[in-house]
Amino acid sequence: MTLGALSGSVPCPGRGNSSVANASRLTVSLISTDLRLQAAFLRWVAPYPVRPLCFTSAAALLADPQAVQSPLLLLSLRLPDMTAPELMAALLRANPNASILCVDEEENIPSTVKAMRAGAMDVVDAARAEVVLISHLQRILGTAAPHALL
Amino acid sequence: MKEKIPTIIVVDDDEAVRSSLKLLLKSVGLPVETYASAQEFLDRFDSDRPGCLVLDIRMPCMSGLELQERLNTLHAMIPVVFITGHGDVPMAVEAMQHGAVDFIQKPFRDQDLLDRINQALEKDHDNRAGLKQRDAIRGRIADLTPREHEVLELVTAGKANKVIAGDLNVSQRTVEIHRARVMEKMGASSLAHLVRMVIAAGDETHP
Repeated sequence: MTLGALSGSVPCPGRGNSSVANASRLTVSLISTDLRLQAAFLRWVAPYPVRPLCFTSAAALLADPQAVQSPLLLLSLRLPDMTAPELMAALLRANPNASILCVDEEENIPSTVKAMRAGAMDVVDAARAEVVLISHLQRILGTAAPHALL
Repeated sequence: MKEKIPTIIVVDDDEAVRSSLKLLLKSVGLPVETYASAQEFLDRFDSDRPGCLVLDIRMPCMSGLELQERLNTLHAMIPVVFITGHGDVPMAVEAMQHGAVDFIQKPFRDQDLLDRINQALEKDHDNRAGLKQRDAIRGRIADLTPREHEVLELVTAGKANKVIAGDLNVSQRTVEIHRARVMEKMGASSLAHLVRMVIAAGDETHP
């Protein structure tokens, strides 16, 4: 099986995929191969009027224009096909206003420093990820144009 | 005016670390000063001196992160490279969020530290060059007459001479003369250049 077949976006369960309104919602994206983190991410953002997308590779995310334009992205420092700083560079070129948060499960200081230098707003462990993500999400929703929330 | 030579300032409470870093930096021809505490450094700190700071995180009385915060409060632009034997991810994040150039763990390879120091010195050089350029532009703006200043604001807001003439209740020819003087005094080669200068000058464009 190719990497492409393994990768891809996972729509948020229970929110449906055919809704036109969904297409205009703010998109919040996660890039991680950690299935527990994916499930937690969908649970965390479920109460908010956003369209969550999960990806298991950087390539899959970069191939999705809506994901690239997400105002908020949560990404694992360890990705299968690209380093986190490389992905951040590509994302910030296409979407300079994106807020990028990184999840580090390995207490890796050099990777953390590289991520911060590449433009991450924060690097957190899985335990703090929810609080930090929701805090950024609430800030973004608070400043978003009303039509983007419809 | 003679340019000041950049100095590497090492602040670490560990005498052995200070000595070894002093030796290392001197061996590659870099001027170095060492301090045993953050307060000792602050007492002698001169923000006009170029260079960079190699700072230990964990020190008694004032930690490296507290010193960084103090320097930020003072708007000191000296780049900081943190070194630590007891760092963790939240510490690294905090240091980087507050503008550190790098955060490296002891023990480190000499060359790694020298590379980081060179990056920090380049950053300091660029920061100071940017500041110098900004001050020069602000000086030129301050030399404009009040009327030229008005024309500058309207021109850089994208208004045409005819519209500016209407706004200022003067003839179009008068605006053209003021505009030419503004361009000359500012040393601008084009409108785009002038706009870039005004942006670089920041908020100080409004006397």
